Amino acid sequence: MALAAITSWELSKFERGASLPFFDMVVTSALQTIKKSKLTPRAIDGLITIQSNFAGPAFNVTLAEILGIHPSYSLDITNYGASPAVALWHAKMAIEAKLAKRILIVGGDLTYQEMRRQSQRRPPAIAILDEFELAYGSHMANSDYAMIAQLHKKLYGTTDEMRAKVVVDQRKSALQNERALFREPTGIDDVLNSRIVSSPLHLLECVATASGASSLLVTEISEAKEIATYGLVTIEGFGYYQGGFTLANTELIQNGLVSGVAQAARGALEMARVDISEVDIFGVYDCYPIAVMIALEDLGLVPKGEIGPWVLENDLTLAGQVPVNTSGGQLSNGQIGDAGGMVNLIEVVERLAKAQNFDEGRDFEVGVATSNGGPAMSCESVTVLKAMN
Amino acid sequence: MAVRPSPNQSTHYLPFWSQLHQGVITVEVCSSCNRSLPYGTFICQDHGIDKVESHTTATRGQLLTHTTIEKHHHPLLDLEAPYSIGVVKEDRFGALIYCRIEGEITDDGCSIALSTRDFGDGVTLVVATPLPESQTDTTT
Ligand SMILES: [Zn+2]
Repeated sequence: MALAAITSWELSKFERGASLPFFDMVVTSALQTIKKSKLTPRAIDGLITIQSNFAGPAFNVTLAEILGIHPSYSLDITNYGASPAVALWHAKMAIEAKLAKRILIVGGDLTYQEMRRQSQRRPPAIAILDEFELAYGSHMANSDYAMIAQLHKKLYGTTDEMRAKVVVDQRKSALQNERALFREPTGIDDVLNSRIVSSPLHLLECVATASGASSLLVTEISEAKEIATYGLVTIEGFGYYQGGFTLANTELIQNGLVSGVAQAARGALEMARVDISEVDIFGVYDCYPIAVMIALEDLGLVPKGEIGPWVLENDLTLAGQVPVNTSGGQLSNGQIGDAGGMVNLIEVVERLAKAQNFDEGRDFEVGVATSNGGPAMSCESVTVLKAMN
Repeated sequence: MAVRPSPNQSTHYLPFWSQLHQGVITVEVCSSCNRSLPYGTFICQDHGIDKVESHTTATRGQLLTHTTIEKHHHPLLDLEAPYSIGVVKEDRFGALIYCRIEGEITDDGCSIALSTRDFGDGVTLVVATPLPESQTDTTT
């Protein structure tokens, strides 16, 4: 029996610029999530923030001060792109351990241009990357995922067209999503005709950085039943694996491109007592389509190396058998720094909760969200979520 | 002239960058298990720190993967894209080395000659040059 549930959430409309100062944006999101659960800030006794380049260290302390709350549980999560999922699991554990009753998770960031405009600040350096990758002129995640895509091509014959199909399906899903930053119909040729950023990756394969904020509230189950606007969603399983951080140190470069998602998925599915075939809906961290493809293989949906043809044959939208990133994912919504994965997590939560505009009249009972952190699939997580009947 | 890149991960890598500046590529190897350690660490997961020694790598290796960056300003060198980078597995210890690639790559998986290059201004980097097929039968 679950002791905690997700009761409300909010994603701001992401922007390429930023129409609000950073903390106004983040606080607006937090207040909306609190209000959706018919609570006031005073009721929040737990706060978990997601590392933010703009906010810097101890974002949780700064934000608590601005919100005027004095939580009995407070953390800043620093697992790069995996931070939202790690935050959600920590919220569940803290409520089960009776460390807090109502835990607010908040994340957000600015694009680098906005960061410089609002504060003259630069994103912090990452020592090991500086020394062993950036010195070579690495384009961070762009060039690392490019080399991962190049290796998938070499080992398994995965073509540019196959990767492009992931973008096309997600952009098709985004047509129904008013929040999406990119809502133009997009075909395979559009992806393939966009300029090469780092070979073989095209511009439309690279997630666009955005400014925005997101928040999510987890509460004790008894209260959740009273305050939630939509259906309750429980957190049933979680798995995490942290591999090598620089590309040359990741295991996947030598093991046939098996990412940490494989190990994280085994743990999460076993914990939730769910077989991958029972999962109705997927939110797969989509910084690049090749990341989605590797994760779908490592979740056990498709044998390793066979994702390319599978993607061409299957529809990833809600019309298909395996719906993935059904509001368009980060590739259509933009990426708000290390809180980017909130998009994939909330996509699944909205379908499971049958939230407004996200009730397809279909019963989605089990959902899985994945996340990648670091420049090369280093901090990997898998979360299993269930709709509570 | 200070050696660049300057080690910021740990002073343990100061000798690595100094050696590179002299034209020698080294890797940390645990003499208890003869495994090379990933760049950035100097601790064997099974035998700790005591038996870790620097060794010279092979001058040959195999390209694992690569990319050509089309638009980016190189942070250390006054160099505009396009330029290529890649990951090479060197032949002596199987160490994976992130490097700059110079020369045309005919095939991922091709044999590579590993060397260093002084780019001026104190910057020395590992350079991988694809070998023609006739030179791929190698000893190290
Ligand atoms: Zn050892």
